[in-house]
Amino acid sequence: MGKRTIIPFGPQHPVLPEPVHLDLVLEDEIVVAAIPQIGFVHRGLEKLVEKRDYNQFMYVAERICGICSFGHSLGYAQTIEALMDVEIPKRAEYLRVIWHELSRIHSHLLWLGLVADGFGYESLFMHTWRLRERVLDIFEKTTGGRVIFSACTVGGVVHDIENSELSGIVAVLDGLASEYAELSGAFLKDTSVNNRLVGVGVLTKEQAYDLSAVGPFGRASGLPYDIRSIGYGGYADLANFVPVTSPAGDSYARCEVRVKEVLASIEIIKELVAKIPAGEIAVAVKGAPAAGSQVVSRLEQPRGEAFYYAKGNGTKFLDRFRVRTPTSINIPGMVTALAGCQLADVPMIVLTIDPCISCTER
Amino acid sequence: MRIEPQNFRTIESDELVPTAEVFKSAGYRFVQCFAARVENGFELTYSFDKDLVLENIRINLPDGVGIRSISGVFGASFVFENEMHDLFGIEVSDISVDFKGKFYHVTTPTPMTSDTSAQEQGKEGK
Repeated sequence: MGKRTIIPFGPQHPVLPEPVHLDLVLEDEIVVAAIPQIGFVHRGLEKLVEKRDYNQFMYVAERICGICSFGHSLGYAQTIEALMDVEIPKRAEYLRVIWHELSRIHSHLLWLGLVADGFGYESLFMHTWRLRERVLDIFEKTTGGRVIFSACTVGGVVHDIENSELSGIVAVLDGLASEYAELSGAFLKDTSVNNRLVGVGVLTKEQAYDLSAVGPFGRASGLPYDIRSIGYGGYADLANFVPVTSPAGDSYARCEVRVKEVLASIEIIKELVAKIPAGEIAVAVKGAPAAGSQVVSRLEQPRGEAFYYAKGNGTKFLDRFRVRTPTSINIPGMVTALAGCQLADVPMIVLTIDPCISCTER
Repeated sequence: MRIEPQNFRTIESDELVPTAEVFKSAGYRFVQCFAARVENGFELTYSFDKDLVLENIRINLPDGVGIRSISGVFGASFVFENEMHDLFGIEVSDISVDFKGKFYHVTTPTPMTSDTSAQEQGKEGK
């Protein structure tokens, strides 16, 4: 056995601009254990639900995180709607899914850029973010915001997108897809990129299941687990939704799943644009959640399954609102994937779970 | 679909670990656990999933009473059990990775346990 050393990683690290800390236990250059630490900037947003009524809290929910902003507003809205037995118009359901899948594209492109920067391929990073900018332009054009766009409300959506504009969005995505095909080749076929990713930070299918890995992190270990399969809202009308998986469980597989999910999301948007019904985009929601009413609901965020719980008390203030974010449940899997890796690979492996500490520090 | 099946079942606190073992042997996945403040205690909710169907286990825990960790059965639970301890002050014993109150860097001890004035006003119908 070599000499054991403990090296602190984070909460400030060039590859990860979010506060997560790891105590890395090393034998020579090999990580034998990693002890995670979060909670540096916990904001207590779940507590704030007691001071803001259920409509006001929408603005808090979508500020849980920037990248996952629309997802959290959607997750919160669908939870409150279930709690109050509100049925929203079909067109609103479709629009929500379109924005949510656009958010997934922008999140994955952001991550692909970060991972390219992580292994030192800066031009790939810039081109990936150049494409992501087109998605942000769609957000800005359809909602007025680029990151937090307040499109969701309890009862539906705030903005409609004209059918002609939806066709324009499809045209933009078709153009993006053809350029993206070239970029994705760099991620999946480039020898120097593969050298940094293949066989690095392996999490087996059994480990992923035991440790409840979710999202692309779990699907890259061969778990076909995707909440979109349940068929919430507009997802119910997809003809044939199949989760993107990869069996290898290494950093390359996690990259591959996200690369392919961008294209899958484009196809979902195109299908729903072709099917979107005409009609209202919101219903008026009056009253308050009944005393003792409670609901659990889930949503497939870009990073994986998010769990929501709300409990009413007969007033407009909830008794309890709970968000379990994907990153918090992926931390145990990340720690397992780190065991046995080289110290130099730690930043890359941490990056491949696509950690969102803003979500986790809700 | 607007809502998935809402499966809630209440058990006693000493049944938690055996119940978790039953879920584990039946092939369930741990999803999450959390606490909520109720009068004279806490309401704990543990969620497990198999084939995208969620089962929620509910435990009513009186003030001052602890609970055993299920991290020996489901390794991923340690994150949320440390959270329950730090934010609600619930004593969870035998956590596989126990941060002993240092998981969240909170300025107010057990910040999730106090009632807010807005909630109180709401309950009084003001």
